[in-house]
Amino acid sequence: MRSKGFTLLEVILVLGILVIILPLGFSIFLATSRAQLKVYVLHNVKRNGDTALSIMQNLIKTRALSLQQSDGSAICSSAPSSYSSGDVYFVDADDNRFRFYISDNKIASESSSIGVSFLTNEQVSVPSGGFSLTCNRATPFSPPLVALSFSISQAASTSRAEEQAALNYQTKIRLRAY
Amino acid sequence: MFTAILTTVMLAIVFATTQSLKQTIYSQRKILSTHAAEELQEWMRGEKENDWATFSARSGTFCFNEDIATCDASGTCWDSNQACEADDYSLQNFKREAVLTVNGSRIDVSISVFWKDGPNVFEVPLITTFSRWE
Repeated sequence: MRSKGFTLLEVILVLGILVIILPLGFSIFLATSRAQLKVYVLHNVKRNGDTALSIMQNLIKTRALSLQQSDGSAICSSAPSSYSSGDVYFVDADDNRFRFYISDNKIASESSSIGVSFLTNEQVSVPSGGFSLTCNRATPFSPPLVALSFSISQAASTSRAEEQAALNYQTKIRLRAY
Repeated sequence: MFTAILTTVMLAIVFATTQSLKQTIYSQRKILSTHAAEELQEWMRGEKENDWATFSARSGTFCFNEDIATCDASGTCWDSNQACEADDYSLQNFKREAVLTVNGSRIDVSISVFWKDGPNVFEVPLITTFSRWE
């Protein structure tokens, strides 16, 4: 009469297969998890950067009539001239002033009629040194040209590579309402 | 029989996880390449706004494997006036090209960012038209 159960050879074979495939499966699973986290972080950084750039572009392009410093003195109004010292305020047709600046590592939009709102969320970081807003006017026949650039990165709490992502943005905008 | 079933199930799990990893890496590459294409588009918009006469005089294929942040200072990013070398994926493992075509008073721009994954070459295209606003 034949006894039930596995032979020693079968047990050794199954254990051998598990020893080979399980570590392989786990390492691929971990790599997938890390890659998915990286995709999430990249997507989050890009979404914040795209949104901020788009809002600033549209507001400057369609609403800005002229440019001022914080004390109200006009900049880039004569030609040729340029300004790259930081505090740039835009003035719209209703004489309201608005500006973009960095506050708590977020891009802030401040308007004299609406107040302050943030264009990026807490999950990303825009260092003040990575944000630049300048203007120049080449000829009296063309409106001022505003150059905007910023670097945006994930506000990671760890130094793990999959939680790090940084993207650079830059564009130039001609004042159309000028 | 049991060993054969166990092996098949385990291999199926490993295969599925590997496919998921490949798809995730593809998504990662696509986000970066889309940003690279949009970055060049914005830089070209700046070139157009800065000097329409010079910008509209350019046509042909250009290789933009440089870091765009260095382009304004050096002014050499237009120098190539030719497609990138076939295997030149020097922009963080990407290759970025732009084809400019004069279309009357407009400039049609077709930007392509390529990357390689094994024997496969993937592409993110971005087509836009620039015209002068007065």
